[in-house]
Amino acid sequence: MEYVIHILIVIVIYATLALSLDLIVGHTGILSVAHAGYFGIGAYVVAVLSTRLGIHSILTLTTAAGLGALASLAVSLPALRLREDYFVIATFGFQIIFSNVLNNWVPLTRGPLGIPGIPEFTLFGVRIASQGGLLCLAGFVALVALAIVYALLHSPFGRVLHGIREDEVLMESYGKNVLRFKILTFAVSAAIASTAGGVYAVYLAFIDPTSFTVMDSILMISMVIIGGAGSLLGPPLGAALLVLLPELMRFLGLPPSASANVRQIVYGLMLVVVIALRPTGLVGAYKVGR
Amino acid sequence: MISQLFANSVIAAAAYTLVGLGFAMIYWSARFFNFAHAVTYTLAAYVAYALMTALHFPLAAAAPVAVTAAAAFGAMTEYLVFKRLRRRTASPLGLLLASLGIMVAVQNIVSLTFGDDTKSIRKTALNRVFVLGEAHFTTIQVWTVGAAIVITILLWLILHRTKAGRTLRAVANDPELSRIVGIDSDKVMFWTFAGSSAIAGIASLLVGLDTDLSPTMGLRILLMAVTAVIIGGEGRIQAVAVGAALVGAAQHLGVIVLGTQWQDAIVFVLLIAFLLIRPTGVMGRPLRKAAV
Repeated sequence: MEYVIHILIVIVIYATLALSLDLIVGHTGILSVAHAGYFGIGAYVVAVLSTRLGIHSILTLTTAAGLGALASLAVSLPALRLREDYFVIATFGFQIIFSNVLNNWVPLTRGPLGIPGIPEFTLFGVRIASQGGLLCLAGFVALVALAIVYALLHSPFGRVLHGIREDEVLMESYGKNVLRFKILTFAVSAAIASTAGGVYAVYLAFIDPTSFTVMDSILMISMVIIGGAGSLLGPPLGAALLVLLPELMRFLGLPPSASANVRQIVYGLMLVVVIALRPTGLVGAYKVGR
Repeated sequence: MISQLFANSVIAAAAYTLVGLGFAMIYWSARFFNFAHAVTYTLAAYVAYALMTALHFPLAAAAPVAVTAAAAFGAMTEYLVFKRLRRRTASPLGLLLASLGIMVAVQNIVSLTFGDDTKSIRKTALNRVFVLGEAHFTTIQVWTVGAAIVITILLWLILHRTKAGRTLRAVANDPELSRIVGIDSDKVMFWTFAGSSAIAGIASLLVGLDTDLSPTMGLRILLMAVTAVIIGGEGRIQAVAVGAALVGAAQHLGVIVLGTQWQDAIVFVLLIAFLLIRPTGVMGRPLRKAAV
């Protein structure tokens, strides 16, 4: 049972991440390889605030969200002016600078050693210590994220986003400030990813730089595209699929070290196949890369 | 100390030039960022490693096989994946995503087959140390620099002085028009991928003989090479070498100010600065078409 809840919590966290990334990839039509960075910022903000300053309330999560959004401005303000493939390279650059900082800013992040002993969470005076409680917390964050994404997409704002995705120049000619829409979307997406990172830190009680690398960014992109971009169901479905994959392989008798490799081989190939044969993914609404 | 750092920059720049040339040729003709180039590079070194350790091939026999394997792999990705994607009207972003998928898959196949620990194909004869002034360097490093110079010049000659080169430049310039005049652009693309991948294979062996092999070796050097291509400027062979020199210098001379641990970060700060301030690169031509 404990194992099942563990898998569920991981799925819910990654579903939240995929959902937020889809705002950028599937609804605005731009590709960012820096999403693991925002995830990492959230995790480290919560870890540092709770282990150094002894804050372990909902305040850490909101701070994580705020700083994540702020960090997204550092990327989006300069880089979103670039054309799409240059933008991808720029986000690659930001992601690698971020990993570099995590590994080398030792006084704050403890470098490769990571931050252990992240304390339990207190919500309105109640300590969330049990796994069930943590699942509720992760589920709550996911639902809030879903509500935000849903509201955003079903508002005039969302219609403009889809317009930008289909024809940026047309939207510009309608007098829409395309850059501002993109920057705002980026900030919302990053805030959600950072909050998910905070939950991740609290749940694992230990974080290190290896969870927030370029490869993790690519994993998140694969979740969105394989599940299906531009929909509310697709990205969480992709997340569930790719989280379950190594677990399934463990049941098939693969050693855990090999299953990490096999998972990446499988989703790498799936990415190629989906782009070639079914650009909407499993249940998506937007053809990525067409 | 300065002369050593200078020597290090030149050696790094040579490797980035070689990887960057192949990447740039593909980018200029097929118009997408091919991340699979990273694993083309990785594969060559591991093929040589497998031949030299398991089958006891001498280096002189393993090297051509490894380079051919890299060329074949690159050509295969074009034939099996990218050509088909172009037919299905995939955008540059779609091609980029597919190449990311190939990169992730192959990198992990290498890691599953050979393990994540570093492997060595070094030869003591090639790692003999020379001293010039205050700078120390090895035979293989001199070879690397030599190879970069020779291949850059050769590639320039092929592109500008042969019929094949003219054809390639025609496809790169205007795929539509070159199809109208009867150029088989798929064939041109196939050979561009094969040639570019062979250069990656050569680079991989030269660097592999100097340092160690690891499954992630390709992605790191590719990102450096991409930076070199972008800050060098589009459309010219010699610009890649200039960009690579800047990246190598930033990386190794930056060590004086910051520590070695910030080497990679310095390069990407440089990249982002260039993308913002001068996206056409130091030697780039001004944009001809309206950038809509």
